[in-house]
Amino acid sequence: MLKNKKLFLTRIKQQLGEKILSFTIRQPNETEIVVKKDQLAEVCRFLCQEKEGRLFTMVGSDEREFAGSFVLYYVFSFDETQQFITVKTMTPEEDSTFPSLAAEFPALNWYEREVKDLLGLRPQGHPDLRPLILHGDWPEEIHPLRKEFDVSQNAPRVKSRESFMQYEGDEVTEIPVGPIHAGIIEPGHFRFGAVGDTVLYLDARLFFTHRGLEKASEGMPLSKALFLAERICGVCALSHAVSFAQAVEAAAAVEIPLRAKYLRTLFLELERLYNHIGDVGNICAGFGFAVGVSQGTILREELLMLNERIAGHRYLRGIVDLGGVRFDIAHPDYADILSTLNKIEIGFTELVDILLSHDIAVDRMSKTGILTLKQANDLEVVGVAARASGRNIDIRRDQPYAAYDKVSFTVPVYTEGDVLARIRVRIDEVFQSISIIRQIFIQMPTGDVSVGLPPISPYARGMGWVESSKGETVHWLMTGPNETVERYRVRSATYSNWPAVALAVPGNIVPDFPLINKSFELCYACCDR
Amino acid sequence: MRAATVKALNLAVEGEGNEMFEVIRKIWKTGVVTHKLPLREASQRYRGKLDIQPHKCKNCGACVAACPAGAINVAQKGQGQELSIAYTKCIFCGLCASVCKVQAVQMTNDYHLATKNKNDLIQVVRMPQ
Repeated sequence: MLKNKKLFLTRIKQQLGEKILSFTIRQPNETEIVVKKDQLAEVCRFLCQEKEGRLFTMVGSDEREFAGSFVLYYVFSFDETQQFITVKTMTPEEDSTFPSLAAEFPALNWYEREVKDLLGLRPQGHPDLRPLILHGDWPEEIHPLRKEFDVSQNAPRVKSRESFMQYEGDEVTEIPVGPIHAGIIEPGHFRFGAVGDTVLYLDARLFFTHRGLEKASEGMPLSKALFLAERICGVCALSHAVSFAQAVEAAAAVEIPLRAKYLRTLFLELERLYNHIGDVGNICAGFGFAVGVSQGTILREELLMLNERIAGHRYLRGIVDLGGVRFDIAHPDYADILSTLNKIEIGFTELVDILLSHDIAVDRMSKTGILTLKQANDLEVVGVAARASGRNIDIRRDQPYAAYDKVSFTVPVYTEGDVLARIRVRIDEVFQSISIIRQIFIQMPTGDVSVGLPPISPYARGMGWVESSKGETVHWLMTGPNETVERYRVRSATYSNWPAVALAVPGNIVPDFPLINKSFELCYACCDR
Repeated sequence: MRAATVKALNLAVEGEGNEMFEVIRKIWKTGVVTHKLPLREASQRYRGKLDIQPHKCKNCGACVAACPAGAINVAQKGQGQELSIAYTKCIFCGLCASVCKVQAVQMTNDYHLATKNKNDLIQVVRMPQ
């Protein structure tokens, strides 16, 4: 494996030759390539198409103070060799543009628009330059992630530049939904163009819950920013906290104790369990199957109460520490978890039997909201949605973190890409999670649960990732002086998957939209930050 | 869709479709699971309101510095000092309790925070001189 990695990197270096300015191995699993702006497209094309890398995250950063320019980082993951390659390119303030790759790599669409909104760098050749993060009434010349923007500053509101798809003729009916919805869900504005009952096109307007968390974290001590990370989202609280902690630990080049790794794995699986089981129940609300909803809720509540007994918090907050976990668990807790899981397993099997043998339920779910493999690959879709469309990725297996390299599990993959396939992936993963937790208790090593962090030098970089119940969540961190945050970029699973929903809905009937939306189960808060 | 509904209905009428019976059996078996108020006490590890013992406090300020939400404040009041905790800001992370070397601050499992008056959510403890 080690030899493979070396060979892989040497080949890339040779093949890129003079197109790159420098080639540095920064960490055992991360290599940095610096390129000039005009070579960016070619290098990215080479890494994606010839080397089969996949876009992991893209970060724009204002480094004028210490590096003299804005910097863009494109991170690609190479799952086969378990390597990351960061392509770095600089863009000075005088020439604040960069070549857009969105037409070629649709996954970059949102990233580039985000850089334009928040940093004011213009992607040249981008096919759709509508505002994304900052809604149209935010002044075009104010960019919150530039260092001169003061967080306490109040931006004046201007006339909105928002625009939606225009339809010609009388056949198309426009149906606006949201941002305020019936029921307790987060805000998002959806505009359907429908012909009769069938959706022709879906315009999704998100980022209503953009709180500027990345800006708010700048200058914050790392230990406090952990709590900010934990509050990005309610149901992925632990995934975000672990991702952030891993990013800090990578920047500090510190290895956490083995027991802490196992405990993190345990809690991450508990988080996946309550989410997946709740989602399987909730999907029944999409076709009015009340028994399924209430059975799912009962099981989820059992798990939330278990979380509270074990960790003191229903949504698993306040568990993770930089360098480990904050508390240890003992044998009575093991027994509590295992006996609760035995109960859950029986209850969930019964729920699944009822759901999947119910003709009407299966009929509503199958062939509804199909996302093809091509679409999933083009948009770099992650998580459950990817695996239901035949895209075989799971970051727990592909780039193991915590103790995932020590437990065995299978990654369910379906090829249909419909609502039923997404539910089946969740169902299979629930049983895998229960099996992982049982293995953890057999293997659980003794020892410390946290380790002190050494001083972290300014401008060190680190990346942390977690396969949350929605998909992979990536935290990219650059530290500042005195162990503070200089730049922090959160790319949640929902950020990658929202554009896919807009592709899966057209062709379906309007009443199936809630069902399709629920089958992706994307959080808005994670995406909007 | 319609075909499946008709099929399910037919099966149910003919007594072959046991899926409806399965659903009814499940509802019967589950019964009522809702808990009635007043709820039970929260679990022992639950992080709720703080218990502050002023006579133990060494006035080191560690809890004030550690609080990520800035919920703990110390103010000079006459001769002595007053420690105030704003539950309107507190995120119940428990860092204050974990940094206190003399255990003057401890978390309790008291979760009752609902009130009609915001001022009730500010707990003030007078420190001995």
